[in-house]
Amino acid sequence: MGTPSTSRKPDAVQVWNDLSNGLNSAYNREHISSQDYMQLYSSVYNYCTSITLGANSTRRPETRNVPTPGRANQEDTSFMGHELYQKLKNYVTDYVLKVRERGVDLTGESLLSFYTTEWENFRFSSRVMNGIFAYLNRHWIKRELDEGHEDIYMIYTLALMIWKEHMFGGMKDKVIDAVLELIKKERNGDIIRTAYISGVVECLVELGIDEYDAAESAGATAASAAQNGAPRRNADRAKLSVYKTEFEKRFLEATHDFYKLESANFLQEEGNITEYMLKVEKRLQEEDNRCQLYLNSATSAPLAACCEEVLIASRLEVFQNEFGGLLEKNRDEDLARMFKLCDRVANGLDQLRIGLEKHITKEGHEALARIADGNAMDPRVYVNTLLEVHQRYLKLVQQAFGNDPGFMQALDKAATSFMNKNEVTKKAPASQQNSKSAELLARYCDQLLKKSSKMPDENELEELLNKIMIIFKYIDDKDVFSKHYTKFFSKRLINEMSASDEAEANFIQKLKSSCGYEYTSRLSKMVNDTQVSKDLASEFKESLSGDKKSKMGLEFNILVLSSGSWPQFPTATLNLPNRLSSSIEYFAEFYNAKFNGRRLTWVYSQSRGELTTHCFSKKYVFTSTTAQMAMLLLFNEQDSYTVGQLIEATALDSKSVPQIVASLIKNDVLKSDKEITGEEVSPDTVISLNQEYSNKKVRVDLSKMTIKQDTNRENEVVQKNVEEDRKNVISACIVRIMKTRKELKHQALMTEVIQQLSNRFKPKIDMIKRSIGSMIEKEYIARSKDQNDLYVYIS
Amino acid sequence: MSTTDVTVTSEDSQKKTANPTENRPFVLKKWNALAIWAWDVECDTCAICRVHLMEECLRCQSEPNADCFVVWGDCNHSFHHCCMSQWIRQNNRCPLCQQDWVVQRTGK
Repeated sequence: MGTPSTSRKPDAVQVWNDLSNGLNSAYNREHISSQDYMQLYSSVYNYCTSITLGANSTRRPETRNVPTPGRANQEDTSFMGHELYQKLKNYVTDYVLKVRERGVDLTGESLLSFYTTEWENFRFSSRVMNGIFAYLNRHWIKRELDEGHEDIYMIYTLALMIWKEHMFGGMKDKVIDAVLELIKKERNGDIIRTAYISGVVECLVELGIDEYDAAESAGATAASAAQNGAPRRNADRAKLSVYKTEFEKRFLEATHDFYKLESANFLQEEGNITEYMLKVEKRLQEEDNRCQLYLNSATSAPLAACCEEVLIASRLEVFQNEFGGLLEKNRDEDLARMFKLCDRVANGLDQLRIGLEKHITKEGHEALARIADGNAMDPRVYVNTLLEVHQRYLKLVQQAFGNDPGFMQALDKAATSFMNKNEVTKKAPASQQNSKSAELLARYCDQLLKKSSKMPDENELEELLNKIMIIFKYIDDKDVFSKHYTKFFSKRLINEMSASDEAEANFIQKLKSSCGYEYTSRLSKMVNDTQVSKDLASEFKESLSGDKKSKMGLEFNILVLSSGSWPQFPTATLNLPNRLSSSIEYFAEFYNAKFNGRRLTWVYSQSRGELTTHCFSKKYVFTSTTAQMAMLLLFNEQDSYTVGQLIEATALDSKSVPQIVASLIKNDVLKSDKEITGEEVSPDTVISLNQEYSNKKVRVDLSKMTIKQDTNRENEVVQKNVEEDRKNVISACIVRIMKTRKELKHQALMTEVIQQLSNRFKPKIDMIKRSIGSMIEKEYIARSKDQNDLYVYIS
Repeated sequence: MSTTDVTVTSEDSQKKTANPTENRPFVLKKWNALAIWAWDVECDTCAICRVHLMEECLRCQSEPNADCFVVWGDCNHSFHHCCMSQWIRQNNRCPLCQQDWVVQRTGK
């Protein structure tokens, strides 16, 4: 081969002979020396530029514009180019058809082996050819392309097109069948030669080249890319069109069928959800790896979607049915797996959320049913039971369900349900059922914050209070909680029973940050009251003259509270022992000098004192209520009285005397000649001092026995006050809103009131309407003259 | 033990107990008295805002740290001071008895 490079005007036939020899070497993968290669390249150049040679050939069909005389040279060149192009095309087509002939009877892996090898060879040879015909690419073809001829391709692309049409077009079904068969084998656990598949896939991707080139007329880039053999996977989606239409579609169908059958068989035979989920997880992972390893990564998403559809979405019902069982058995790991799987498909979690809510609600109610017990519900047990259920599922949502907001919401809904109405609250009297939870929670707070023998340390207490706040968040009637809390708090303050002022303030702060300033303003006022009162008491002590002090003759402590901020106290009067009456007399004198327009009321029921005894074998210190003190002091004068005499001497009402007497008899300080039962005591019953009294302790609290108040009645009172308070809170809320908004439509006002009060209680609609009515009456707001449903603030 | 004196609440006998003759059966050592103060008013509720006088009036409730005290007129009727100052801008009479409003005293 080889035409002398000096030959200026070579014979076209001769040149083509040289070139086809060169092509033969290329397509037989023979070695081509660089010298030969250069020569072939020159031949192409010569062929294209040999304008005179082609003059006598038939003219090319006129498809382009009338040539201008100045372009005659070009015209001929292009004619030569066209001829060469056609010859080349015929040559490659011949080659491809021959290759196909050899593979026509092959199937399965031998077909794949044949196809991939031939493809590699063809690709390699075609690249060489592309190099040889580079001149044609750069000039004639480029110009053709620039002028918009769509049936002309760069040489390498041309080769691919021919392969696609004759080779691939002829045997694609068999090839892809073989590929799918091979993948199926692998899915069934066999080891396969993945190189066959990746070879076919690469071929398919490369065959997508024509669309890409047509779309992008910059032929040079395509050619150079092809020359470099650089895989242009991410170049353009259009490039994948052959892969997508010829392979991916069928692959996904096969995948769908395969897993449909597999999951059906698996569930029918094994039926075990845990195993199934493990299998699905494994399969999804395998398929993803498959994509990365030997398919195109663009298949990842559709393949995952396909598997998810078959393995999960179409089996959602199975998941949903098993979900409850897994919850029941606390199989957190399986639940987490189920969450992850169902999270992959659209709406996969909806039913699980509902299932979770149902389950938690049921668990909560069951847990409470187990502890529900007649009348005396231990607040600590109650609160801890609520907490246990909540903590259990909070942990589940956080760890297994990835803190999914929907699942969190399900927990919140369930918690709100079982924390407000449950088996325990159902035992309460009808009117208190809604608020029983709030009451028990407040009682538990009291237990924690009160001085007691087994006080938790600071950190422990902080943690317990934080847990209380978790439950508090779910309580509907936060105003009822506040009422009870206030009641217990006032007892702690008055009797100085708070374990720690810091802990008290800390908890009030927590309530404040949860419900706002107003919610705790009363508690803060109470704290403030006691502080002011302490200062006042010491001021009073300093002001006392020696004379007055000796007349009082006892340690006098005083607590002055403002009415309104504190719960109502019973204010029965009685004949005070002398020292006590002079004490309050002096204090009143001091107080009225200091303040203006104030009236003091003494609350003996809440005033306690200490007595020392000298009548028993040992000296004791009795802590007792004022009434008990008054009564015991009578026994300084004589050893026994009739009940009638006691009533007369103390001036207490005839109902409370037997109660006080009973409390002292229970403590063994007094005794009676007749059994005292209930409130009915005949006035001639004789009560006398029990000289035999003895107690191991020196300090004895007699008052404890008297605090046997009827909790139910107390709760009734709270409930009634709550209704009254709600009216005021709603009114204040309306004024507050209207003051800022100046004008507001009825509906907007309603919505805002409900929204603002939502962290206190759920106001009833007609209650708000009535409040609006009364605010109009009191001329805080008015209806607009123009619009009937518009309210206007009156300043 | 003294059991001679039968007059139970007579001043004399009580005064004797004040002496430090510590052989009586019971001797008072300590008393923690509790008192509640309220404004010295005839009616607990402010007739203008209908809120309890011991509480802040409605307007002050919506303003933290408001100082809401009570005012008495010559007629001895009492109101929140801020409610009344609002009222007399329109009408310098007591809303309850229609007498001319003259401040008798203010609470402290």
